[in-house]
Amino acid sequence: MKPKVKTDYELVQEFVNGNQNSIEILIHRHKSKLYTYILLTVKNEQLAEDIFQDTFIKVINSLKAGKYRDNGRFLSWVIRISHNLIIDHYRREKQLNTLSNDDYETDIFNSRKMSDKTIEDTIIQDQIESDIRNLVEKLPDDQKQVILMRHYGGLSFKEIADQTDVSINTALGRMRYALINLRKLIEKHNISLTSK
Amino acid sequence: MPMVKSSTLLYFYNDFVSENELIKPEELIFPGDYLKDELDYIFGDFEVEPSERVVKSILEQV
Repeated sequence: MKPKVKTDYELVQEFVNGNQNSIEILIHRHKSKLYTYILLTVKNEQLAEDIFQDTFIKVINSLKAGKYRDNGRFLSWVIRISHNLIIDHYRREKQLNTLSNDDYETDIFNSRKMSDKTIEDTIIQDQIESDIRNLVEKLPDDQKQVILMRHYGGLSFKEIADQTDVSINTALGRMRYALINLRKLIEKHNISLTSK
Repeated sequence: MPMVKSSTLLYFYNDFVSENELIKPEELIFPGDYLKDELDYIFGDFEVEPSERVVKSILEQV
């Protein structure tokens, strides 16, 4: 009989009660989704890692301060914290459109798990990942935000609307336009997003 | 502000309203599967891992 997998909230409770291992499990459970969300948003690996780290430090401090109210949506809460940190960063740096992407392509591939794959699989996977990255980069920032929050953070449209200071209808509209744009791009560039 | 024909606006409004009618209200408030298939098709299981170094650094600060 398999041991029961603890819920995020159970782990949060354990951490608040002094079990340090629980936060490690939570970080490992959600690190990929959170990091991918940040990386696709900021397009720079070093910056993404800095924000990833700052996010979890803030999460830990908030948990210790008893600021987390569970609604079964731990990752959404974490994504919202990272979103605010990304905004803070751009406000501070005022370089929203001036970041260099030079190191992005190299880093994104270096940091991906490459084990247990044939060379052919790896090449195909590289191509797919490159295509996804290019597709996302071509979207306007407001549409990109909605897509990433929805897919990687699992946020509802109301949460996305609250987070981005727009109405629910606007958030929904941005999502639809993003998907329309992505579909057009996939068709235009004849992109295949499956390795089968 | 650029001028937009009212007929054009009406077209987009009707299109938007008719699409919205397909969504259950709770889908807007709570996370749901609306458009999930399309997102899954585009992103698949595309995820990138942060370096072990950064994870270790966080845990050292706990």
